[in-house]
Amino acid sequence: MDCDSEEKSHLLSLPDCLMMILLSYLDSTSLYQMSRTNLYFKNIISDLSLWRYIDARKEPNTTEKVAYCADRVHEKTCTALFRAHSKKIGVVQRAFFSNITKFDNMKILALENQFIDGRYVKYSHFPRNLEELSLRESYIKMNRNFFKGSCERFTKLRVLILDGCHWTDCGFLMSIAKYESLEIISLVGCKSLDSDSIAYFGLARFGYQKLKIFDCRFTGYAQSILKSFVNNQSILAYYFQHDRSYKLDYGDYLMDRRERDGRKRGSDSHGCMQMCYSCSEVDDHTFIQFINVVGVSAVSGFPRSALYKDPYGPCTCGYKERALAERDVPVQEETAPELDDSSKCKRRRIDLPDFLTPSEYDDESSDDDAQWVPLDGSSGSDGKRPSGSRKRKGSKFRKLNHIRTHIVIDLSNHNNNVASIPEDIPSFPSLVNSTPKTTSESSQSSDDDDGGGGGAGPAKKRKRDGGSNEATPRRSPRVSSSGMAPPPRGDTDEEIENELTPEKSAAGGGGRDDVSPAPSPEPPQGPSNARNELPVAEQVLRRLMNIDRLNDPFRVQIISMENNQGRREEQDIYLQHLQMEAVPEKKIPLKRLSLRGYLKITDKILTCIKDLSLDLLDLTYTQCTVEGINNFLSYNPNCRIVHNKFCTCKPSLPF
Amino acid sequence: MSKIKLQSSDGETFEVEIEIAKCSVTIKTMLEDLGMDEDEEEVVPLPNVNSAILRKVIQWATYHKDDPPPPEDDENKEKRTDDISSWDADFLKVDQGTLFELILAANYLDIKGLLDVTCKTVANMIKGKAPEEIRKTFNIKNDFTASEEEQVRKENEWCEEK
Repeated sequence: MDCDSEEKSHLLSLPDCLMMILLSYLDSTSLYQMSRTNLYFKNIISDLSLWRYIDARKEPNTTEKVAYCADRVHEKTCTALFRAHSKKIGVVQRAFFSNITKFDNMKILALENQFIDGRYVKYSHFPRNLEELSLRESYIKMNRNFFKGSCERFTKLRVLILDGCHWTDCGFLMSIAKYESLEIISLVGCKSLDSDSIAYFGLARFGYQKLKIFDCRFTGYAQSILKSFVNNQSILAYYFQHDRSYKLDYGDYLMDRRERDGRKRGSDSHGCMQMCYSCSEVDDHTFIQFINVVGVSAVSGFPRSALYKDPYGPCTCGYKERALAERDVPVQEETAPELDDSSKCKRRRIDLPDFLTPSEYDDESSDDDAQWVPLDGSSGSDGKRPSGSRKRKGSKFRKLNHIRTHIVIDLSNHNNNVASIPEDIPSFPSLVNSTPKTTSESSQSSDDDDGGGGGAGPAKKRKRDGGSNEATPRRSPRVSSSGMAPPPRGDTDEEIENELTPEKSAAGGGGRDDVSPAPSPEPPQGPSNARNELPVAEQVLRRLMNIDRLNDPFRVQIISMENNQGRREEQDIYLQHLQMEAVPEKKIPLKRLSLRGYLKITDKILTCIKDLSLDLLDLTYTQCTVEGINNFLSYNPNCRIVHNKFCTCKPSLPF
Repeated sequence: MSKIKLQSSDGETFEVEIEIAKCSVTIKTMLEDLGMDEDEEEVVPLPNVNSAILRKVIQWATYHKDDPPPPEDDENKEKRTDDISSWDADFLKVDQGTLFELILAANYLDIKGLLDVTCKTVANMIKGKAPEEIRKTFNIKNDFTASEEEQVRKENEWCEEK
């Protein structure tokens, strides 16, 4: 009786069909161990239905085990994940590769910490329907051309993980740039940066059409990538982290890790590390490019992956709760009146970060009557807008622009009719607009800033908006500020003296109906949609934008009527920047950015990237201050800031 | 709430609400196929389940009566085993014999949720163990031949060596 009940309740008393269900809950490593207990299990576990999903990465990764599990890979296997114990123990055999080549059902393959001999194993051995591939920490011997030409085979590859693959180089990044489905690439700790990475990335950016996550922590690629991929229309997340923060986060030196690996395979070197340190820095200037870039909501969400683990999981440090408890008043308080989106956008595009202004022009005298007028304003109240508390450095702007020419457009007597601006301001190519009104005057006088004979300034060579694909126009303020400095002062003969009469304008403007719209493809809209009701300043600008000569810095003073109430309104506009505004704003869907450990990052970048509508921004171990971040948060209240004063979650390491 | 009577293999009857009994697809199908009237005092015999196990099953089904139906299995995905609720974990703190009988009963009564959680529990007892430990845990006889055994022993040395 006793014996009977024991018999009955034994594991082996389960019928085969139930045993199969039970075994289906086991991972491959456990199945392997189970198969070695007993003949019955050895036989039942060899059933191939248990080997469609193979995750054999758990230790012990003996050669026996890896071989046993690798032998079980069959044509219905969709996932095969292997990891070697070391580069000698637990390595998959060469035969494995020739075996899997024809397995079209295989979607996910991981060969981690493996040693692969590139002389015998080529990318063409990998199953062609792979969607995810991980070679994390694996070493490919003779890898020179391992991925060359592989784009035709891996048309479905979405996820490529090469964390800790020190053998990868920039040329390799070119090879994978053409993978047509690639969404996630993870290169954490890949260290073989060449000094010409920027050259490669410059080309590679034409690929990566669907890339969404670019995880380059501890690579030193950050600078190159940010510069090259600034306009990428698909990337949702960049993860960068500087090597120096590795120890702080993970209590170990990245070097130690590398050296450990390096010793084993006799590669890697200190020299490489040194080089990385010097050229991998990212600083504020990198982000100038982002100044005209605004975020758009991504069409598709973050890609899913079985192999790639997002380093920023849900917040576990409890910051949100703490913040809610501490903060009674939301930060938004500071940005006084609610602006509708479009006007917000315009206003923000105007405020450039301080560092664009060269300090040598920083004389206080210029703070005169001229008022800096953001474009958003219905002409009147801008100056009084409480948002003035934010960095709107009008005076600095002017200095920066080094203004030589000053145009006054008085519309106050003409019912604010912008169309009355003459078409043929002498020395300008034609201004275009229709409906000539008879009255307008535009006079022009020299600015007190006197401006060196800037005709030769580099600004002149820039195209108005032709270079919109390039970073040039947006960098222009910097170029001009530094480039304009040298010309000797007092060389004022280039100044234009104009008297523009109403008659002239009437004559010139007759019947020109072929209005060419402002260059920006999506013209910023004022509070109202009708073009006629745009703020006067903006209407003027739209006309002036068509003038090539306006590439040179100009100061335009617009005198208009405020709301027809008789008060004269004066607005100064600095055309160097308006020119810049004319560059169509780039819309990118970027949602996450990590700059962890980059010491040269300061609050200034926050000004540049505040329009990106980021969901997550890691500023840990940077110089960003709480104030700067709070200001940023006033634009992006829902952004999760990772910083030692905010969310303190640590990004997870893949190894 | 109408009730139904279930009779275990050793003759004990349990009165259970029909909704709870219907956790078991076997019973549910039977009721539907037979078109049993709810007021009928029928007793459903369950000759494969003894009273101790049936009591456990009813306890489990009562607690989980409002659960959504478990998702379909996908053979191409890994099955998680670390998501057992604490109530279930406590419920399944039983000896191995009971555990396997619960598996058998869950299979016979076709209660997917119970089968799922019991299999996970057994799987967790297996995971991370070397063959010898598994044998000890489940009292499995090693019936390999000497040479096969020798091979296994060698492999073990290998992985201990590291």
